[in-house]
Amino acid sequence: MKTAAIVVDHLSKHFKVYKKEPGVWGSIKSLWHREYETVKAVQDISFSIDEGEVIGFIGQNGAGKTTTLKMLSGLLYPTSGEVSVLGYTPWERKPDFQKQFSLVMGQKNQLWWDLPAIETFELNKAIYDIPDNQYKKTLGTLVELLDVADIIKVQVRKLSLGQRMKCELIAALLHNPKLLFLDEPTIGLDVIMQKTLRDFIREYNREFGATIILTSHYMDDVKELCKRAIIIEKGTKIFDGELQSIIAKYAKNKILSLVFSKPVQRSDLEPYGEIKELTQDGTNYTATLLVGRKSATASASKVLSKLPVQDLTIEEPPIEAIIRDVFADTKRS
Amino acid sequence: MTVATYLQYFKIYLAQTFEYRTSFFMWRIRQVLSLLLSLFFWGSVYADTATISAYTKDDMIAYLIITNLVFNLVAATSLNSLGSFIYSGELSNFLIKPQNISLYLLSKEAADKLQNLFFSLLEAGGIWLLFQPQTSISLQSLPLLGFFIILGMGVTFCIQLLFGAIGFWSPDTWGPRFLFFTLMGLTSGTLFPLDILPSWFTSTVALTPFPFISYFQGQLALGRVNSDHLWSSFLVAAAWLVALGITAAVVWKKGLKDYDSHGG
Repeated sequence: MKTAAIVVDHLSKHFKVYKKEPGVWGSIKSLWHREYETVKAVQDISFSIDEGEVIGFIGQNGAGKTTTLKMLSGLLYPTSGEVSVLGYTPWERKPDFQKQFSLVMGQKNQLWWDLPAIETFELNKAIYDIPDNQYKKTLGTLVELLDVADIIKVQVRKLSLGQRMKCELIAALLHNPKLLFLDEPTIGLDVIMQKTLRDFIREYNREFGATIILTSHYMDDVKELCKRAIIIEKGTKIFDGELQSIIAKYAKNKILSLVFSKPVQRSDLEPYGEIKELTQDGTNYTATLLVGRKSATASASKVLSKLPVQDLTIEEPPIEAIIRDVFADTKRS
Repeated sequence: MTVATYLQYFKIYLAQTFEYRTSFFMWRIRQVLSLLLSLFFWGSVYADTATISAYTKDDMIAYLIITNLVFNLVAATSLNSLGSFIYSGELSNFLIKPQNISLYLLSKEAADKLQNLFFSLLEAGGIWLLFQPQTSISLQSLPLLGFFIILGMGVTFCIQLLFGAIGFWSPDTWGPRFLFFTLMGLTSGTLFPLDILPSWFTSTVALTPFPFISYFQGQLALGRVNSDHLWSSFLVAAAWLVALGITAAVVWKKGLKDYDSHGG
């Protein structure tokens, strides 16, 4: 029987925020009078995650994903509710608990900006009390897996976003955490780098049996890594279950983006799928088609053979669209 | 969480100090210029008089060099931006790891103080040689001087923690700090010895933490502190250290609970 790594019970977090009226007069008025409102960032959510699971934590901007992760990692005290993470109450911030997890935020650095990444690694070695042998072995493995041997001695500020993200992951994994909170780890990265990180995360989960909670804006991230997804909207959980069932129900199509070398007619495209966009401005000939998920590859192949295609990509629908549909369905029911 | 952690922080901050060379050298030049300006000002004041209060021109020069050196050690701090560090959410990176946040800040301060000690000693030594004040410095008071410098550092560290803690609740951290540190600049005794002002002023300021930023240490070095004064000053400084330390601990405990971890 699997043990629960995380148990969340009726968790809520409310923030008091100051509402400023627009314009100069609003700014002047705010000197003596300010209005505050309560924002319910997370509202009564409950779920449980087993050890070794990889969960996709999905939601639009401001849905409450990061706030939840911050409570699970002990950065925030909740307004109400109970949480147990690896048997600890996170916001008690006990060192024994903190040594067992890592939080990686795609939009926040833990690396020292002016110094080479190796300095942060050395610092984390001291903070997490990692024995010399283990440190050398883990660092060697991670450096090799992520192919960063030539950059860890370069100042962080001189690295590309992708290189920095790889080093962020190394800094977060040096102490072999049992639990990983990954908040948008692939944000801003190019497609190849996204794939590299995804492969790495999958490999880490397989090798160490780590529990991973991943938030991402990219459907590919979630689809490739997670069997289960939790969808959160306006602070409330609206779905918790098999990712495949959402994809089957709400993501029936894929997006076929085409670039042509010559003009094509609308009627040429209609047999292959639903035309979402067609641009023919004399220099650019592009089209976007919605094609059935199961027939996407076959449709792409036919388009390639019949039409003057210069470039073609098959993409997943944006995660926001799926969330919108799930949310609309939840409201209806 | 071991000593190695804080040694590593200490090394990192020391390395970072020298990363921006232009800023570093400009800051040192500013320190020297402000002391020279003060010395030239007092030099012109002494043009028509031999003594002011109980200070000869040489006493005043020695006093100003010593108090500026002490001020650089006690009051100069790496924690000026602590409030925005907290409010912006940067604290999260540190809070999430198994480490003590006070010891982390202390390591940062220690690195800043060490580089300040080294360069301030060089600068003060050079200026002393330039002006050569004929004043005897009490060598026996050096251990006591060191003790009161450390006490002063403790007091200013707690004050910095308190002002930084504003960042847990508000981005408005600059205003209160500015007002306080302006007041501190005027009453710490780096511009002039406090006892040249009326006695009611000196005795009132003596009850605040401000004289322990540099004035009292300057008096000690010049041998102007008798044993009664020494004990009463020690009690006042120690009481401030304890009171500020306890207040900072209580405020930070509440702040860490209310922390919003903005950003990300």
